[in-house]
Amino acid sequence: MTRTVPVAPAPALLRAVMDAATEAVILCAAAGDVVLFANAEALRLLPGVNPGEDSPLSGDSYRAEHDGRHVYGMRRRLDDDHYAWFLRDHTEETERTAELEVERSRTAFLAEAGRRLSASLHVRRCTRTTAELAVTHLADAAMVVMPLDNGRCAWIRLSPGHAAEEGTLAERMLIEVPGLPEALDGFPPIPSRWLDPAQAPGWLFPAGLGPIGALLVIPLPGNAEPAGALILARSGHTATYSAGDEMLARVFAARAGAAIAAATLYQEQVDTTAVLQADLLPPEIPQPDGFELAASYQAARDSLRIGGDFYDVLGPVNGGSDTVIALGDVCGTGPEAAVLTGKVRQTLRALRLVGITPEAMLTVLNQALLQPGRRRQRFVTLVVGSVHRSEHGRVRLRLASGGHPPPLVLRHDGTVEEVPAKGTLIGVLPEITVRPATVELAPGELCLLYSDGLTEARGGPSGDEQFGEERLHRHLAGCVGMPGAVAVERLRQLVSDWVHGGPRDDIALLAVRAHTRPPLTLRGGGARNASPYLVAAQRGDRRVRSRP
Amino acid sequence: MTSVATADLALDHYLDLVGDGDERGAIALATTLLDSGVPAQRVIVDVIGATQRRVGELWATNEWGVAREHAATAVSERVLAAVGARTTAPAARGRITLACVDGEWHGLPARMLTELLRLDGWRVDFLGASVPGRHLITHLHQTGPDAVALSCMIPTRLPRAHAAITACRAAGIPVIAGGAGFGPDGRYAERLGADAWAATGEDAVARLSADWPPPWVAEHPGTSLGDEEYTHLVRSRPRLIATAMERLPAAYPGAHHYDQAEIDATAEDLGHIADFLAAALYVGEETIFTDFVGWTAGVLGSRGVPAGALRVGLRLVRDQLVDFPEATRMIDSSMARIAA
Repeated sequence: MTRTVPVAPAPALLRAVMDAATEAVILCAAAGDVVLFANAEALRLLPGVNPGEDSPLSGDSYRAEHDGRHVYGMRRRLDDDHYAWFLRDHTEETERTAELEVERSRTAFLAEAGRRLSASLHVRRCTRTTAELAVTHLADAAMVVMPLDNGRCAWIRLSPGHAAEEGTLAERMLIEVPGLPEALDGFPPIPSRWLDPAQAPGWLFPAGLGPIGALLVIPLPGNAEPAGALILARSGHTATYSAGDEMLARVFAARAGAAIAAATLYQEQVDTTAVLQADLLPPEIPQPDGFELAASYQAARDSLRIGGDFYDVLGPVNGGSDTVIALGDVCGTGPEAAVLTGKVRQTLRALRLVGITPEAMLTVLNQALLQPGRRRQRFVTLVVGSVHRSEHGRVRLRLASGGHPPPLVLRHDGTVEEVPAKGTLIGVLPEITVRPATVELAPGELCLLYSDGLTEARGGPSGDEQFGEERLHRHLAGCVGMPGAVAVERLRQLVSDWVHGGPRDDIALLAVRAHTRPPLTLRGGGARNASPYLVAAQRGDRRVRSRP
Repeated sequence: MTSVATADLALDHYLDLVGDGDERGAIALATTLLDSGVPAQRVIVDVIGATQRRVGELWATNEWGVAREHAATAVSERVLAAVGARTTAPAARGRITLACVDGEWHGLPARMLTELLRLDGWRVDFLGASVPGRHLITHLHQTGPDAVALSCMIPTRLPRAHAAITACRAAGIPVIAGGAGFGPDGRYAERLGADAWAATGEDAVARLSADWPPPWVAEHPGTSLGDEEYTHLVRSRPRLIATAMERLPAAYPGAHHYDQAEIDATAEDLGHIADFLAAALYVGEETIFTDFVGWTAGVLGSRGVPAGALRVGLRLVRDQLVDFPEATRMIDSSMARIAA
């Protein structure tokens, strides 16, 4: 077998080739690790390498920094007696990677900040999240100071080893923190290098933080006015804020400020709505002596809690003894309907003071709603009743209906009766007819007023069947013996199960129940507290007290 | 006499009082216990809570009717309110929102936790039984609490519990879950994304006082639950029940003479089968369904309903479930259990 042997180039030419290479090459003898040859790039990168001397490199790979240059390379075996190092200048690559890392962590931080800040619409939670994010990425300790409110600024602070702290700050103390009054007034942030951390007052951060090396006070921009200020501190004498750090802190502050400002706006809206709807919410139910009252209201729009159904209970006035109850339904749901229920309830409260019968109240209410010049309104159906105690624990109700589903009476034997009160709906015709009815409840019996949202609730096995009167009668019959509040809760639960999470109208329920007699606590001839337990408990009580 | 012994002694008497709907007597008993030095926590847990478990058993074994059970629960709620009114605790900790999952009407355990947390120094907003998700989230944005405690006693509410937990966490508020609905050891709570779970009210108090808030986690594992089978089952629920009701008389001759109340009750029971099956598919846990069937067999048995009736119902549902391999397997597995 023959083979062609190439002509070997002259050693000088080989050396020139090596010197022209951009990679550093160091040829070493395996025996004694002596450098036999180093090309030009090797001599430039590694000043300690000299042909004829021992190689300063060891191991299989080499990574080092000389004069700000990052050098990296591998050792390769050439033959039994020789090996070579191949090294490169990685300085620029290393710097690029480091910059990329910083940029990545900043982007990740801002992404996390965006996610967490947009989660809540609550001011305190937003400010707390701001402080939490700041101490995880920007500072050793952070404080968020809110704008002045009645001469004081609320603040929240996070520092190492402390749970979140909150408090308020008097206006006169703001000037003690360099840059804080300016930040709260919305001026552009003052660069960190102009703020002297030594001027920070002792109260700003807990003593455990140590000396503050760098301080940054940044405004939190809000809706046309500052949403607050963010104070960042790094501890240790050598700590600094670089220009990049400051830029990142400002970008973060812009996001935090927007979130806090949105939450502030939302809070103002909520407060306003709360004031407006206070009168539209169902009233607290009083507990009169002679009978039980229980009620329940579920608005179709659950987050608003107001709608077109309403009930009211008006206690005795002017020395009278009867309580007036009312339950009704304005056509429609939501805030528009709720506003009209407010008018109806207000009118009934005024009429109540005149001391007229339920049927007369309906007639006057109809006239009031039909007054000329008034904007055309929705109609109303309602039941108004006057309730008073009669003898032997019985309760008498006089009920007048304006086009409303008839109230139901649950007798003690489980029979359910419709109250034959009839009348025209209110707010449509100039003349209405009302035929009131009187009901007497024996002890334990119950009268239920309800809105048609109950019977018209669609659901059941098919998902589209109405709850219906028959089902209501049957389930009401199953409530014999239950206290009024329990019966109301049970009906509410049954219809909720029926609807099975589907949409439904407003539902209002109001129950009047005559107390059961005699009170169970007086069983056994009124001998109360005769149980062995109570006797024992009282003995135990005495013994405890007699101990020295 | 130690307070524990006092509370034990009180237990039977308290059960009698709530069984009679004797609100005044029950409140007097609780008040006497407090006056004799029994801590409010013990009255809540060892008297009211223990009695409520007993009431549940009495209902399940058909010794008490629905009316008596509800009246007893209502009395205990009043007693809790009275205990709460007689004890004060400085609100030294943060604020917490407590709610029962939408559709969950067992409010008493959550109400008990409300008082326990209050006694431990929390400011508590109890939103009540069956709180719609929107209502809960609106409340969170308005009050910004440090935690949401979510109660779920029945596993059929788990899909809605999941929606509520996800929404709370999206609003930046960590969630602690509680109640039997989250399964033995609360194993479904973590799968639904809750930050913590507590077996009892006292556990919840301890967990919240020791280690709260939990570290913030960007994305919770297991936030997407429920597969196609679940979706199809929920969609076809009305048809499933309607068809089962049509076929019932042929499979169970007694149903020929059902009145409307019995028809409603049967349709409701079939609805429960569908709902528990759906919950089991949603969470991916067969035991949710098999435990329900086992429990139902016991409840029906104590009411004189033979196990055969339950098997007929399960079969009527199973026969319609074509291309539902998981659901079919779950029904078969549950039927094997009640046959045994």
